Amino acid sequence: MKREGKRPALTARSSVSATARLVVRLAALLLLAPAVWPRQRSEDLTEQSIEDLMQIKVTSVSKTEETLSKTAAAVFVITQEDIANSGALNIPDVLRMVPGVEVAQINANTWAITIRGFNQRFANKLLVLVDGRSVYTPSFGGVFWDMLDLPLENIERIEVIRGPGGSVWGANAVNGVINIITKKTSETHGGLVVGGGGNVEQGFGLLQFGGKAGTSTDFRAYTKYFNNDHYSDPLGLNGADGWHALRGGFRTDSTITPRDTLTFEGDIYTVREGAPTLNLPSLTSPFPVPFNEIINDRGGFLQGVWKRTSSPRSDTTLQFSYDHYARNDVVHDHRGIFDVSFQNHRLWGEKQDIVWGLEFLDSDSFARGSLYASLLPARLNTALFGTFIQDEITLLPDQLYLTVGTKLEHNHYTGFGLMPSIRAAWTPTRNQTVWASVSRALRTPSEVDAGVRTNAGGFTLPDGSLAELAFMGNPKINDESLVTYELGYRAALWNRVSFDFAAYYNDYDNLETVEPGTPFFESSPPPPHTVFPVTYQNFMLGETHGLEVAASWNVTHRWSLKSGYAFERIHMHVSPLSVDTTSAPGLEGASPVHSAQLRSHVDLGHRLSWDTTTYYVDRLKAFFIPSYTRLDSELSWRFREKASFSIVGQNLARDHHMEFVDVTQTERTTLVKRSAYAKLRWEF
Amino acid sequence: MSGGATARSDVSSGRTIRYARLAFFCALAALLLSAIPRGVAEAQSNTAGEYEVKAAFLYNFAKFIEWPESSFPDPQSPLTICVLGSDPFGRTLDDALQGKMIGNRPVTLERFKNPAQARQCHIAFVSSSEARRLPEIQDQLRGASVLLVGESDGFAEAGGVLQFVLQDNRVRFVINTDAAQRADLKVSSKLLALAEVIHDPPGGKHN
Repeated sequence: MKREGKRPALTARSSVSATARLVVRLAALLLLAPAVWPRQRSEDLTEQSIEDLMQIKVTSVSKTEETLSKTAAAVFVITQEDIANSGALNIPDVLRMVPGVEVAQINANTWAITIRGFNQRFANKLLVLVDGRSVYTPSFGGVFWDMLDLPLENIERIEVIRGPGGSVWGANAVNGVINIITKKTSETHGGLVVGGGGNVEQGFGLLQFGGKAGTSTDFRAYTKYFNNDHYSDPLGLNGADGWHALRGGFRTDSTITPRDTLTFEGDIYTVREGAPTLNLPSLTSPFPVPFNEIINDRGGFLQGVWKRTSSPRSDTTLQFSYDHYARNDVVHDHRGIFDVSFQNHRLWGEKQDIVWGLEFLDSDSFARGSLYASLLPARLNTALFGTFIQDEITLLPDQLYLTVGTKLEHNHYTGFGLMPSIRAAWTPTRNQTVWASVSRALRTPSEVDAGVRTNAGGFTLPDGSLAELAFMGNPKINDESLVTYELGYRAALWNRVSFDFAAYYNDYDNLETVEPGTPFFESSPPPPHTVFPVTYQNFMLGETHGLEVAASWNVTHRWSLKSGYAFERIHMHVSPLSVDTTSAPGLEGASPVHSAQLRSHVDLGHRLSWDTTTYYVDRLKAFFIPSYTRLDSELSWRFREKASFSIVGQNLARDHHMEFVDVTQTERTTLVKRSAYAKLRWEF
Repeated sequence: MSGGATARSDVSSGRTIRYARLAFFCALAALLLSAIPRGVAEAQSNTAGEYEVKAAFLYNFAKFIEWPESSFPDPQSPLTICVLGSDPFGRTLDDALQGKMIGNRPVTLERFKNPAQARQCHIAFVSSSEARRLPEIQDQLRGASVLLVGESDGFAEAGGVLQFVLQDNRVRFVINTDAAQRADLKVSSKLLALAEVIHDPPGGKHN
């Protein structure tokens, strides 16, 4: 590595180049280090005794990972170990490690998270499931990340699929799917206590107990709590976004017969959070004014899964869930979602592996609005039907696979939609996979798209009468559609290095824009006034292209490196019918062109381990947010077989930084700040 | 990773550089620290790939199993370890067994698709891909002293001799002593002491 030149030359440069240098330096250091060190003789495990071998912790590739490594899609798996090593305390921070996933924090309790572009607080092209249950809300189309606060300790893995998943998961799995899979209860026997605190995460704790009930049932039950401090806004004032949450839940897994298993799980939670938002005090007010609201969320879910394995060649799953929440956000949203799905999987002959399924989902909601924002109709019941079939065909055993499938769905607003896909995977050798796919996905309208009403401010017309600028949903809004072309390559080299590459070209149509509507007169709410509406139309199309790389390298038995990089370009075009000049540049500039991660895990011996992660995110042109580098580090000491203590620093590279701006301004931006916490974990 | 300077970035650039430098030195210090215990630390908390460890186990098992004399043509003839079905080890097993001896016997490695070929093996690792064919494999190997090692659920109960299990990310193993007896294999008491010992399930078809 070159010695650094004159330092003053640096000071005049932008922070973009400074952070880039930081990344480059860290990367070079981490990558060059092993070459500089005298190489230790690689340990010959066969020389160790059986007793010693039994003590070695193995990094195993599960059956699922094995299957995933041959999947014809851009899949990234976050393991429990990755989660524990990340130092993250919430799911958004865990997701930062995945190249191609854009995680941006708006304020202490609000995130904008998407995959492959289109980021916004209401990022609507990403589907998120927990144990098969969708947590994508039909109200605005997207995920309430603050309400998705399950204990990270209970997550077995998170499968992140970049690119469309519509042919199996249906609408809104446009740019990606995130599957959070929790551990079976047979793996969480005994007690678990986790507690800690720091300057931002002021206090957090988890109390859990699991065990066996009878001969055939395992269970666990937990409760968790945290209290987080507020951030500061860009002026250095209290951001009024502190929050705390209490949650409890359970899960049982029963083996009823050798062929049948039954799983139940459920959670209840309550969240109280400061929301720096906007409000319109009266119709004559020229614009909405800042307003610090306190949002209370209450909710819970119950779900059951019955799985019958009729034979090694066939299994059937029946799943139901009921999810309820009440959230007094800008619009008070009370909602119950009932979902039932059936899935059958069978091997057909020697060459075909078929999965098909049926789904019914009912969403029942009541939205109490304010003068500023409301949903029409306030009471709404929508139903969704779906069916899918997928066939994985073995063209050449152990070498060439073709997967064809489609989902057909019927929704309340736009009726039927078809989401087919075709994927091919070629595994020329055991350790290599080349894949390609073409797929279509749809984003169906949310209740906001179809029926929101936001009063943006009043003004006086030349004749002296009152007029109102209003933002209105369009009941005739159409699906947004996408056709994606993907190509990927995955390899495990020399047992210690693995590499994953994916490239894509996305062709979008019927994307939403905001267009003026026809003015109309309204007498309620008083005083009578003319409404100048703007509304959603499907007047934009566009292309995105990009690539993602993930690589991991077990440098020695004690040191591993994992890195990721993503590149993306977004080009949006509005139709001649459109007068919207902001949506296209807004979308183009809301995603970083470059982003990268580097994670290092070092086993220091003496039961100490040290993790460091650097995240680089390129600037966001649309919001004038400069690029930034996050640096997180965790030092962990396992002082007993079942007890550990860790110290974690987050965002160490900067005192504070800005990550995102919510264009709707329903959540104002505050600055993510440097933080540290200590954590004790004890199993008994 | 380039980009023009924005209006905001100038304000924070001085601070960024300071932290960049701080981070750089932290990383450097920690890396140096991490290099030290590598030399002195014992093996108590090290990690390795699952199949690197399992490969080492396969070799070690050979030391604690006694085969009937008829299994070897002469005292110097090799001990053969086989992988049956799709191989999860890759190069690991070749590397682990390279140049290894058990007493006076060199260790050789073979890979087979057809169970009948496995009669010449002393240790046969039955890949998960073949686990469903275990009854067929047992039929093919009847009368031959082959240590059948597997890793699929229920492998030992179904009549395999030795089954790897993962517990708390560590490799453990189960031995079915009835199956060992059927194959005329003597398992040393030391190995049995480290294993979870099971028998054929009552009423099983092996009785």
